Amino acid sequence: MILIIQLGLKFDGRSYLELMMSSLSDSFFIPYNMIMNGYLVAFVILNTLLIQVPLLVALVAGDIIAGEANMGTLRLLVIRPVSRTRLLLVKFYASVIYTVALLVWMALLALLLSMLLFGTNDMMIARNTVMEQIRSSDVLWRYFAAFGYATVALSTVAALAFLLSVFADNSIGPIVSTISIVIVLTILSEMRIPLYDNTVKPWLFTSHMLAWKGFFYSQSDGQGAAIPGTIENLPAILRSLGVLLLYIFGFVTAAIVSFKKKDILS
Amino acid sequence: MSPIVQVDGLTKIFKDQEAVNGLSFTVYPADIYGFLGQNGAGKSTTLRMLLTLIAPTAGEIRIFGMDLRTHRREVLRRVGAVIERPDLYKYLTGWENLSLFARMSGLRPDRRQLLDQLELVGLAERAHSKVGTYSQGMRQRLGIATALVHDPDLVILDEPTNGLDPQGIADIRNLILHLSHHRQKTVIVSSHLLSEMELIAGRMLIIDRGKKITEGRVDELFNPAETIVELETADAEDTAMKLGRSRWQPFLRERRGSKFLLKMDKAEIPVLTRELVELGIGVLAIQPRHSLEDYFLTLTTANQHVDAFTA
Repeated sequence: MILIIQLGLKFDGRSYLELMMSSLSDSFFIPYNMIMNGYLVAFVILNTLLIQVPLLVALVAGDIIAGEANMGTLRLLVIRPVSRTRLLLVKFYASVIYTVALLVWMALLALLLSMLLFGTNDMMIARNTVMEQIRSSDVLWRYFAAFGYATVALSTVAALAFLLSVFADNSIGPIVSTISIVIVLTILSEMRIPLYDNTVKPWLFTSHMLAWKGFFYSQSDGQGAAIPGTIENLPAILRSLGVLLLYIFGFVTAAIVSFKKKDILS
Repeated sequence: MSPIVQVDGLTKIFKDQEAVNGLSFTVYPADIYGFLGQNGAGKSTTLRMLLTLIAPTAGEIRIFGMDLRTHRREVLRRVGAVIERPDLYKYLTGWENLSLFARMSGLRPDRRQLLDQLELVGLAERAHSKVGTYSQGMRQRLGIATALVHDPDLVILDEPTNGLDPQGIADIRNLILHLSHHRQKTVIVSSHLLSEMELIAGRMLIIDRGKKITEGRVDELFNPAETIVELETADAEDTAMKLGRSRWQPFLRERRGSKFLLKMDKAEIPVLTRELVELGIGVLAIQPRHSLEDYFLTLTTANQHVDAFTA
């Protein structure tokens, strides 16, 4: 998928940019050749894929306990002299390791390969009516921070799938349920309903999953230029990070409490 | 001799269904303890409670003198088990499965230890084949190897001969006897096959619908002289009427279509045969039976079944 996007942008990136920046092209001269570089391509890819990657995470985390129950191996694990809490924590760590590996792989393909294919230059990001330019030397650390944040965001999905996995004896249920919950909550997070804006949305984990983009928004000086090494709203990112960590803790704790009481009948 | 397992008043209720009801029994060291009951009698539920897979609703389990609730890990360190089918990781080899479960038991087994276990169950030659390519019997034996890999004192095997061919059944039987006689393991083995239990068990518990029917030494539980005889005749209605009026009426236990089950001494079978002919009953077949179901019939009183013939 990443390679398909990269190939498309390599051969017809200008058309893509013209389409994306049609509202700005009348007012500004846009140097398309400079803008279309590895950093922007990686940003486009991450925007596209970070919506779909939860599916890959749910596939593995939803299967991690339910799959064992389905195979009949869960009872062989539970009768070993290991506490159920430890067994479950190790299983959750395995889900997180998979999530990290997935993101590292994405980073290699989306960022490193894009940098090789398209080269590097200043990164231009369109935000509503504002165009932000981040200097080439100021981009890479933002990607590392974004990938770190995405690890926590996707681990939240993993924790949800993991919790549902404890209640099931086959993988389909937890996987489908996780995806359904993520889709419904994402729609709710994106809808502009004043009633929900300040009451429900701040507490939905899906409202915080895309906060990684905040690492690419810099503070600006008096002339409207981005100040290198700054983040526009770090407290908001940290707050989102805190909400996601709370969700992970809650999901995993609920999974452990349920699993400790569960009769293994599979 | 201190018991290895002491179970007192064990009860398990699933929602509103009572799977095990007030079960009590004791298992002594180096014994092969048979756990006999028909399908759905509560055998697996009881064994799962002994392994902490299922939490009891009531009752107490002590293994090696320790309360299972408070000493779970200490107990499980000394217990090996195979519950129902030994579903191992099919994409791993036998060797890898064994190594994995050894490590989960807190061991770092060397090559020799793993090989010994695989040799014990006759799988050394297929050690490096994927478990997905194993036959049912081989998987069963590998399951037993994973149960033995940490050298437990107590081995619990739930229906280990299920789905095996006669040779596979004999292999498992010999393995269980070897564990008890040569390695001094205490073995609890469940089955719904009375004949299997008679061949290996020293003591036996028989349960039905979650309740204990009887417990004791196998040679004391069964009266070798007494049996259930199955009689098949040409005219079932005529036979029911004539038997109902004859001196054999108290021996009748059950009628199944054209077949009748009678409980009697084996020595009386020739007398029965002769008198059936004298009564003018056309006998198609007469043979002693030996199943768990028949054993349950020998435990019931005659009055419970007479109605079926006199109504």
